[in-house]
Amino acid sequence: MDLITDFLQTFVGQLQQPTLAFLIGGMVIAALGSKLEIPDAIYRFVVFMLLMKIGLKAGMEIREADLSALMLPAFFAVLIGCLIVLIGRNTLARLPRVRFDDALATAGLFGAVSASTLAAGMLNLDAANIAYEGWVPALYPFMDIPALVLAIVLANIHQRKKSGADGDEIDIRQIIVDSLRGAALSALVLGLVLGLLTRPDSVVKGFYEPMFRGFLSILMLIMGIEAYARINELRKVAQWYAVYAFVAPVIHGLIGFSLGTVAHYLTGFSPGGVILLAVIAASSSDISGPPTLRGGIPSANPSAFVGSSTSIGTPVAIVVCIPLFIALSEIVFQA
Amino acid sequence: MKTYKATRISIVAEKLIEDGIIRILEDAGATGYSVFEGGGKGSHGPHPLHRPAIVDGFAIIKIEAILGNRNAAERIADAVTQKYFGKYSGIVYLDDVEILRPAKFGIPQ
Repeated sequence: MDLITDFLQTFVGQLQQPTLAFLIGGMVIAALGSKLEIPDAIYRFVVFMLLMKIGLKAGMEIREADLSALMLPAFFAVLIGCLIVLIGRNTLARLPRVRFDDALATAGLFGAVSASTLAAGMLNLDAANIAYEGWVPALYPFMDIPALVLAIVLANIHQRKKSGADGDEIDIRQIIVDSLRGAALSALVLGLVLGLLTRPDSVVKGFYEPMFRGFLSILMLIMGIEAYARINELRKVAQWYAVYAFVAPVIHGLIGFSLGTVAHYLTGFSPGGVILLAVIAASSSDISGPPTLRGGIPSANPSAFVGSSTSIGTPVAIVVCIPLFIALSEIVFQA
Repeated sequence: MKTYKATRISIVAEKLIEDGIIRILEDAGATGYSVFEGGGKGSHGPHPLHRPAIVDGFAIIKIEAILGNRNAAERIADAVTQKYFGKYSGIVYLDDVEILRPAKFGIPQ
């Protein structure tokens, strides 16, 4: 079966990309008890750099792009974010020994988007010479914010039903504002606006772009170390979270891939774009999602939702899903 | 050297609620406060000091304020506990301290 061998070859080839290697490297050295730490300030700077670069390039592309081509994928992004939360509500939240709030917060994170996974996906596509529209990363807030808002709203409704009209009005506008004010989305949106309205080509070419790969490898190392550190916290909560965190990225990614394929046939969304949409769907937020959820669903246990996303969700999305969807697109689009 | 009696209120909490706590302090008339970053572990889990706090809001801070009026300090402690500590991580404690320059803390000489 040629198809299967081709598939496996692409898949294995992807596994050797530096993004995956550094992630696994981080997990391994943390497991071995290494005291290597990347300072907090550097981590913050790296996240800023990555999102700024992604935003700038996306903004620059949107300037040239045909906006109608953006609309269907953007709509699908919103749809996927909401679907993921609803799926989680009807599966994870119903399992035994799983608290509703914890499950909903976890589903919210998985519906939201991970900057590190997005960046890793983009790099793998670039290395495989698969083209994608530069504005695809701008779909990030379209999936991220609806998922977080929906998770918080559903959790609050459930809370109110349980304790009978418990005060605490949900201010949706405030949740959106707080999300956009978070460091990650702020950098992305600022980059988008600057790319759209100004001419940042010189700094993008001279600074942001060349530093991108190197910084991403550092971020992957940090996420790997953090993933291992949080496994202990995940052990304290129900096993179902681990199962969900393994399986959900693949399923959510497949949903993203399917809807992306629909967009491909309807509006000419590129195969690279389809892969990236699938990767965003598979990703689970580690940086911007958790504080929003902690603020919106304070009763949820961070060990459950952050543990699921950072220890298992993100590594699975990066190590399994990115290669999987690249290989899958070869079959589906015969690229 | 003459010292004056005052009450110090210390609140150790997750960074997420820093702004809310400061608002309570200022509303109750604290003339100032100090914030320190830290790490540790509590009933909610560890707050690592040396690893990057991937999620900044989950790192912990200690907020200290010196108040001339013990009642005000107790009211602040109550308000913070009621409003936040049911849902978020934190502890609050009071101690008696001796200070110089009472005018700085709103204490009549």
